[in-house]
Order: sequence, then C-alpha cells, then structure tokens
Amino acid sequence: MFLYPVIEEEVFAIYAHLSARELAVEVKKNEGFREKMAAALLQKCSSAQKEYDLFSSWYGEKIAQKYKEVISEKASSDKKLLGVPYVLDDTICSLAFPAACGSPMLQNYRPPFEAYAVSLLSRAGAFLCGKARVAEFGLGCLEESPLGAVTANPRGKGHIAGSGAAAAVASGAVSFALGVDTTGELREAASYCGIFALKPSYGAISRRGLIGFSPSLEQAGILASRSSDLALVFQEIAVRDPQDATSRETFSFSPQGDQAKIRKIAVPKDWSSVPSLHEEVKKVFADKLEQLTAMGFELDYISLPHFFYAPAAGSLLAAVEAFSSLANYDGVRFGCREEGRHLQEMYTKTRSRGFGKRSSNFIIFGALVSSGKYYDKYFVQAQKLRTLIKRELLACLLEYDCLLTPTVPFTAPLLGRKASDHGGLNFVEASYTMAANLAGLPALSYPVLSEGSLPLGLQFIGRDKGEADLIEIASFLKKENF
Amino acid sequence: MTQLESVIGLEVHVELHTKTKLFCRCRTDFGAEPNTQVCPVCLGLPGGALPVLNQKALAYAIKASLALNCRIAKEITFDRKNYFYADLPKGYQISQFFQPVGTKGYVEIEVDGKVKKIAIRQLHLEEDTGKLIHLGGILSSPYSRVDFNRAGVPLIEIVTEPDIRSAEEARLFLQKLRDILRYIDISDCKMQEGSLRCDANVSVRPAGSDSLGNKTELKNMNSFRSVYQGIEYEINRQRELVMRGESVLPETRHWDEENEVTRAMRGKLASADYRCFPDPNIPPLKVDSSWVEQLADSIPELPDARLKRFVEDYGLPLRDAQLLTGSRELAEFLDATLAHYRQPKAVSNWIQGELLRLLNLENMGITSCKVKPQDLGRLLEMVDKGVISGKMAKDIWEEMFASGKGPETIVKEKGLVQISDENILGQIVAEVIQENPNSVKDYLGGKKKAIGFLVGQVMKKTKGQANPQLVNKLLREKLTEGS
Repeated sequence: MFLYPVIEEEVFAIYAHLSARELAVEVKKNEGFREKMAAALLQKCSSAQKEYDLFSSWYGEKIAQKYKEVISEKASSDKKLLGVPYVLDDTICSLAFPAACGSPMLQNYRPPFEAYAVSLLSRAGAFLCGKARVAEFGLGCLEESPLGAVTANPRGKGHIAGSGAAAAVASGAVSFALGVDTTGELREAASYCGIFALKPSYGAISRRGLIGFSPSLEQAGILASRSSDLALVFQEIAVRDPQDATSRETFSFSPQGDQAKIRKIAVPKDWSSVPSLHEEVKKVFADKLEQLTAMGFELDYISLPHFFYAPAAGSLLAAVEAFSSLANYDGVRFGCREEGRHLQEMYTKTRSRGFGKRSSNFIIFGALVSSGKYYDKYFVQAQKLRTLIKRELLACLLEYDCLLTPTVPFTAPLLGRKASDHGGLNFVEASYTMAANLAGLPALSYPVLSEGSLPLGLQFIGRDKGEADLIEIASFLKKENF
Repeated sequence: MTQLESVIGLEVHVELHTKTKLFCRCRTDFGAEPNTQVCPVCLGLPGGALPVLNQKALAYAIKASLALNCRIAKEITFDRKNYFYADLPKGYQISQFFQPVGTKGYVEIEVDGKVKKIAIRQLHLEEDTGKLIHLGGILSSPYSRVDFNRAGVPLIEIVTEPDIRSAEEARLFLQKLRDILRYIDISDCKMQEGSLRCDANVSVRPAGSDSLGNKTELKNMNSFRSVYQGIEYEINRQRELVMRGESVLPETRHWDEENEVTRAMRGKLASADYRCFPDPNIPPLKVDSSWVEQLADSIPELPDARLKRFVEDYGLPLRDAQLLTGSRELAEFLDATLAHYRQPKAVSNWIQGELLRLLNLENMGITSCKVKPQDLGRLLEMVDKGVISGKMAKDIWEEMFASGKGPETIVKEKGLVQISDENILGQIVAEVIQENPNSVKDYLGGKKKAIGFLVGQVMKKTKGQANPQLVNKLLREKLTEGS
C-alpha cells in the first residue's frame, strides 16, 4: 500500500476534457504539461483502482515516473498517440506485465513477446498503464474470474463493469483500451459502462499476442469515451500482419468527421422478442428508433430468421474451438503444473486446478459436441447456421447501410450475481452481439446515458471494412446529442 | 483349408528438408542442442500459436504429389487433430484431413518381372511432434524430458490403398518411393535418422475375398530390412492364428528389432476420437494452377523413365543402368559427361569403376566430388586420341579427383603429355636396342615376349610418357629392319 498524493482538482481533471489527439499535441509541445499529466495519471489510476478494482497488474505508484521516462524517450519524433494513456485486457500480451488472463492456469505467467497491436501502439507513442481484469480467458463479462476480483461499474454503484478495461475508460483514468471481443464482450462492457466500443471487421487487427480461445470469432477491438478516439486508435493498429494468416490487407480508412453517410438503417423486426430483454432497454431502444426516424433516417423493420440463432451457434462453435485452443494448457511448458504419478494424472490434476468452473464446463461442452457421436448433429449444424447467418447479414447490408439493435438485452447486472443467474452457457447477453462475430462484420456500440439510470448501448453492425461509416454515424449522433 | 492372402497398406511419413519449420521460422537442423530451435509458435505458448504456412514445404508436397501421380487439390485446408501427449505442444497437431494436397496417385513396382501399381490414397502435409528423452527405457527412466526442436518440422504423410500383398512388395514400394522422393530432392529419406518412417496395416483373408480381416498397425520399423521382417513376421503370426481358428485382435504392435517379433502395444478397441476440424488460424488456401505447372516443370526425369532411357538410348546393360539410376546424382553425372563425350559404355564403366572406387575410398558422396563431368569427358577423349595412355589417365584421374583441376592442366603441370612423335621415339628405341643386345638376340631368336622388356626400357627412359602402341610398332620395325 502507498499513500495517495494529495492533488489539486485542476490537475486531477487535466486530461478528462481532452481527446486523444488534443492530448498528444499538448504532451508533444508542453513539457510542463507532461509533469502535470504524470501526476494526474497517478492520481486518477490510483483512485480508480481503489474504487473499482480494475487492474490485474499495473505500475502502481511508479506510474508517474514511468510515464515521464517513456514520454521523454519518444517526445522528439512525431507520434499521433504521444503520451495517450491506455490499458489492455489481461488477455493481450505485453512485455511489461504478466498475463494471468483471469485464470489460476496463468497466474504469474509472463509472455516472452508482445501482441502486434501493442507494438504498433507503442510505436505511436501511447502509454500502457497496465493490464485490466477480464473473466477467465475473456469468456463473457458476467462471471467473476476464478482469481476472485470483479470490477465495479463507475457509472452504476453496486453493478458490474463487465471488464476492467471498460471501467478504466469510463472512469476517465485512461483515454482508451484495447480488448478482445469473441462473443460480444467489448460491446457488452461498453454498454454497461456507457462508453463506445468498436469490434472491427475480422482480420483488420492482428490477433498475434491475443490469448484467446476461439480464433474464428475473436477480434481485438477498442473502447473509448469518444468516437474520434476510436478512429485515431483504429488507424494506428489496423495494419496487416504477415505473421497472422487471418490478418488482411490494410484497407483504406478515412472517416469524414461527423457527417453520416449512413441513411438507410435496418432493424430486425423481432428485436423485442429476445426473452431476456429488460423493459427499460426495450423502452429506450423504441424511443431511439423514433428519434432516428424524426432525424430523417430511413428505418425498415426486416425479417432476419437466422439472426437470433447466433448465440446458440456461436457458443457451440466457440466451445469446440476452446476445447482445442486451450489444450496447450497441459502443465508441460508453462503456467500451472500439478504433479502426478504419470502423464495422464498430471494432465487431469493440472487442468482441474488451473481452469475455473465455467471454463471447464465450456471445454467439456466443446469436447462433447465435436465428438464422433455428435459431430454431425451439433458441430456441423452450427457451422451451417453460421454460413446462413453470414449470408443473411450480407444480403441485408447490400440493401441497408447498417443494422441496428440494442447492444445487450439488459443493463449492467448487480455485483455478486453468477453467470448461471443469466442463463449460464446460453449466452443471452450475446443475443444481439454474437452475429457480428460469426459473420466477421464490424460493429460499434453507441452509449446511451441518461440521468438517474444505468447506461445502455445501441449496436450498429456495418458492412465489411465499414468501420469508417460506423464511426461517422456515431460522431454525427453524438454531435446531435442523440 | 483355403489359401490365405495378406493385405497390407502403408502409412509413410517423410520429413521434408526445408530450412525452416512448417508454420514458423525456426530452423530444422538435425542434432541441435535440445530446445534451441523453438519459438512461441512451435512451443504453443499462450497467444503465440499463430501458424503461417511455409510455402517451400507446400511446394515440396506438391512436387511429391506430382511425382507420385496424384491429383493436386485446387484448394487445401489445414485441420486440427486433437489429442494430448507431452511431445505435442498445442494439444493438437496441424494436419490435413478434409482437403489434402494430393489424392489418387500410384507408384509402380516390378514384381516377378511384371509391373504392379500400388495406389496412393492421399498425400498430405502435417507438422512433426517433439521428442521425449528418457534415461534408459521409458518405463525405468526417473523422468521424461521433452525436446521441441523437432516440433513443427514439416512432414508429408503418404497413405497407400491396401494394395500390397507381401512383405517383399512393401519393401519394393518403399524403396521405389524413397528413390522418387530423393530424385525430386525434398527429403534425405533416411530411415535410421527418422526422416523416413513407415507404419504398416496388416491383415489376412481367404484368397480372392473382398472383405478385410481385422488389421494390426505395425510400428517401430526403422530400416527397409525391418519393414520386410516385421511384416513377414506379422503375416505369419496372423496366419497361424487364423489357421488355429483364433481371431486377430485389432491392435497396435511394435516391431521388436532385437528379438525379431512384434509385440502388442495398445488396444485399438477404444480408438481415439481426434475431433478433426479446420484450423481457424489458417484460412483455406487456393493452389495456383500456374504454380503447379511450374513445379511440374521442375521435376526431373524420375528413376523409371531414366532407367528405360539408359537401356534403350545408351545401350547400357540393365544391371549397370539400375546401379547408375539408383542415385539421381550418379545418373546425372553420367548424362552430363555424355553431353561432352558420347561413349555411354566407356563413361558408365569409368563411373562404376574409377569414380565409385575413389568415392568409397574417401567415404564421400557424389555431391562432394570435385570433378566436373565435362573434365571426365575430356580425359577419356585424350585417351582415345592417344594424347595420354590409359595408365596415365588413371593417374591423372586421381589428381583430378583430389584437386578438381581439369585433365589438361594436370598434364601440362606434370609434363605428362604422351610422346607420339616418331622421330623422338625412334631415337630412344634405337638407343634401347643398342643397350640391350641380349634381349634383341632373344627376340630375334624367337622369344617374342622379349619385346616387352624392351618396351619397358623405352617407357623408363621417357618416364612413362611414350605412346606404348607406337613404341611397340617402332621396336618391331627396327628389330626386323636390323635382322
């Protein structure tokens, strides 16, 4: 423990009102600002950590010193994100911090390499404050990790944040966060905390250095309080990586400020039949649809018969991939190892102790539905469903500029509830988000904040490589105080 | 009792000799210090296992498929074969299950003078595993250590149809396969070093039957000889069981080289469920047809075609042709020499005699031989033209072999040119006749052999450089003249 330095209010708020772009400019030209910034960062991160318990590892009291060191090294050259503070989901590798990934399996594990996106951010001058808490291996937002801590929501006392990274952004401690979105985790946490989330097109950001469990669904994405910050960060990290075979050619990305190109918006006509949809979300979303019509957007309610099967198909496919992708946790080369009289016993003990209950169940589920007996009946069917969902969305987006849904059927749940309270492995929280992961399409969660109630999110699913369109409409709506 | 026939299918693993591994850039050098050729990808570290295909390995697999008459897939996939073992870093092996590189090929072997086709079901790429290291045997060792240098080294697996009917056919197939793969230069194919590994599925059934009996999978055969012996043993073991009315258990059996028996390893009754599915880290890959054509053009003449050409075009005896085509480099040396000097039989004899003699003596391979084929051609030409004698040629050859110099250079350096000038030789011959009256007398007295001594004297005076035929002729002329 250390004593929090007393800091004047003016210093405390020194970067809250600055966009990442403005912050980088200040840091570059003003050495005095850097000093104040370092102090403010210490103050802000310390108090956020104390209040919400969001870091799994960070610099602690050394952060101010570290900030000054790192920035003075980089200040000479022209860097777009110079001195802009950010955090990483604990499931993204950096050299500076361990990657426990919310699992006893990797407690104290230090990766010997860093994620490609992290290298790019570092090259752009961004400052990594630490690693943020995730559910075990980043599977969902609802379950507390077997390592214990649950991050509290800065915008809803007594509620969960969904992820440490979302709390870090919402509390104003950092300008943005980089996280992993596999079934919708990033958008979900953004919805709970009232911030923006961008899950890019599959392959836009390298997956090298992401400690994931479902390679075909997962994608690194960005959390931020401003849509313009999403754009700035995306520009820096959406670069082809020759060492990731699923990484795609860098595509042109140039959002034109806050003028929306999107005019025609599709809404799934069955959006309100999702069983776990809360009244409040339903009401706000319906209001927002009316507002959009009033603003002159063309809204159509269209039939998407496969869209709502996405959580079922996606969770099944993710489980099969997890069963295989998490098989490297065997106690032989790294992480947790329990002794056994023979290899089989070592495996059983290591994996029983190393994985939490939810991950274990998920792996077992994946092993079951890919076994000889059920392979065709479940695994192959789920793959077919994935194809249908993808086709359905692509067809819809030929006609419409984007698809609009609530992000999550409910607002941030209370702290202390278990995932099983929300349907366990049924992924009801992913009712709207999973389809974009299955189809590899970009999706943005737009925060709706209102006095006296919990935040929630609107999800815009865009065309392949349509990140700029999504960011433009978000900027436009924000400007209009939507 | 009806006759029993044996049914055999082979699964052959061949290590490709690429410089780097199949999905990362680690080196593949044989015999390096344990765990020095590893990285986050081939160690399966968290967040590190993103495979990027080695294009060279794919090119090798396509070449092998072409050389084995396979169809080449237009699109290939890589799939995960899931199982746990300490030498398997990721808990799955990346292999090809759904769309392998090659399918439906064949290899021809010659059985009792007749050509027989052994069908190839498929040829696919996959990554090798690491190696477990034990102190003594696996059961007595106090520990298992793992060396991951081999993990991720590219392999091709070649699976035959159950077309093989005897241990001898299996051996012939495997040897032909090795010759072909060596010809296209994709692997060392050394069974002892493990760069060629062969498992055999063996069963017996009543002759002419269509159904298959229970099969055993035979492993641990580390030489061509043990493939033959292991299968032979297994066929006999199964025959005896069937004759006694007992049934063959489907199981994996190890060939025990020392005791020359096969032993049961593990039952196949609870067969593993590998849950193969496409690896989501590797998108399906289109195989460019113009690339395949390029690769097809790069395939050299294969052993069978070359053998035929050596016999038919060069008129070499079958045995000689077989010996020479047994090694691609030797055969190419012959071809290259003949491009400069078209006397197939002479060159073939020289290669089999002089070249192989020195290679064996120095324990060298043909690839490290310094002599250029055109130099051998010129050497033999110099003999034909009488510039040097056959005896001199052998001495020059040794010098060529040691230094790599051309024959003319050596001849010049050592002043070895044969003396074929009648005036010079005539003078020396006259001297010799004068100096050896006794031998002259013997010759003229009817002892024709005495001329040998006189020739020897001439050779001595010329330090062996005299043209022996010419010396002979001159001596006879002079001796007859004088009488």
